[in-house]
Amino acid sequence: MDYFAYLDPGTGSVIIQVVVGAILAGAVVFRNVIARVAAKFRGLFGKQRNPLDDEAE
Amino acid sequence: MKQSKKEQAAAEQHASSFRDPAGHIFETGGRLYRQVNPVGAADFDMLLSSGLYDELTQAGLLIPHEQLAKGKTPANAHAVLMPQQIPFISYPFEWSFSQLKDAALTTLKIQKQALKHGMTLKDASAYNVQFLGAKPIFIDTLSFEQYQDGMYWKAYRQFCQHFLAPLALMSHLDLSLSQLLRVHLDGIPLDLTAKLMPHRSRLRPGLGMHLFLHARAQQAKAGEHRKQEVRIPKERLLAIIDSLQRTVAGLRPHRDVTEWGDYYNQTNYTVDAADQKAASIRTFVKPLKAKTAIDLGGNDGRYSRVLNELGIFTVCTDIDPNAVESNYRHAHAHKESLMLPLLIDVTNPGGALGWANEERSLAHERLQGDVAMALAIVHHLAISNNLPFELIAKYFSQLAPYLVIEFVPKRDSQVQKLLSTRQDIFPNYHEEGFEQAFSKYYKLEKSQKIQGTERTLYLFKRR
Repeated sequence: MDYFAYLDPGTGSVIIQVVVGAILAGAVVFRNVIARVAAKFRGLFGKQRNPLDDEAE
Repeated sequence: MKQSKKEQAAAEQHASSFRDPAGHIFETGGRLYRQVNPVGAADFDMLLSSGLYDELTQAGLLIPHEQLAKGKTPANAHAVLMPQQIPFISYPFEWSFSQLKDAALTTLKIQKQALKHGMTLKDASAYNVQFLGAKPIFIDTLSFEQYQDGMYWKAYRQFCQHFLAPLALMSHLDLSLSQLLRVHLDGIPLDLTAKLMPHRSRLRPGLGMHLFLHARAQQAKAGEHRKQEVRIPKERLLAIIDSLQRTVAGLRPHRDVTEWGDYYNQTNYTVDAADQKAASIRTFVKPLKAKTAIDLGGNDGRYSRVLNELGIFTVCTDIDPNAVESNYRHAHAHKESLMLPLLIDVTNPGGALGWANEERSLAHERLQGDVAMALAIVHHLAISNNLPFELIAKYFSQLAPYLVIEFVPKRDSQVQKLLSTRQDIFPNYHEEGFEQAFSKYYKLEKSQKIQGTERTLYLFKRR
């Protein structure tokens, strides 16, 4: 896409935004997956632990 | 409106305001105005109609303005703005680490708000931020333009050069590297920054991407001048801004303590003497009805605050980045509106830079106040820097009509220290010599011995 800019945005500085944008978007997906897996594990532990906690009480 | 010849000449475009075709700053009658050109009309109108202007000004992020009535604007102008005036224009190389960091975060916050309103910043120059007291504020009302779907951030390069590069260098190497901004007015080149930065800093994800990879990409594409058919989805653009925010927020000043950092714990002042010095300053300055002051070598702003208490806006300069940093942090935390801490070396003030040496003006043209204050600095100037008293008096007298100055005699242990490793070539360094030299430019108004010390406080009035 071509935009008018009164300052030269710099060819390298434009290209790198595509790369960095993709890395960061990838990082977000990765973080979400990790969070989901972690939540699942917490859920598993939670299920095992909670009844014990309940019993202890 | 009829203007005198002098006023017409004065209404010329400001020397630093020539880059953006959307408009420019001009000065007339001692006031700054911003003209919006027809080219910038659509974006300017959108800033107002989108609600972005209201939101940013109410949050104290953008300078508010009034608009000059249509009949009073030049024929070639879409609008003329009268922005709220900034008491003192400072430059990024005069800011401490946290000042530059807060200015960077302000810029990014504004960019995020702009994107929410369908706009974007088309530039990210550090010179677009100024300080109202200890609070950064964005002053370029014409930096906003309409965001189009898929747009990359045109100002990404400028942001990284003006903010990220100096902050990274100041954080990882040395606070004094902010002075590279005096040479590189459009920000520190990223390839230079990458060469200077320690290797381990590459491992930091933010710096790795926005500095090192960015510098590599610039080098790789250096010879290429093709228009980029590039599209970046908005959520990725926002992810880049978020990442810049995290990267900047994560930077800390390199080594928080210096030689003078705990200066006030090791001076020749007891608590009583310091209190008496403050009281004398108050007695000297109060009757002057001053509104603005320049504190030269004001360290962490202890005595500048005496002036603040009298309602005097004070630019507190010091040569030590840590003193300025600690002053700014205190002023920022206490929301002080009358204190502007700045990193200025009195023996080598910056300015007269850029095109025709006029883009960034001389420090002493900007450092104009009602009172100048120079406490515990005259021995550094006269002995460490070999400056004759007369030259000191001449320069100080250009800054303000009144001068509060402390004389530190040779008997003082601080001066003894300075002389201990060198030849004493200062036969006239004594009260009489000092008074005589200063009397060429000033009339002595008052003097007061500071109890419990060898020092004397003087009030001079310019001849």
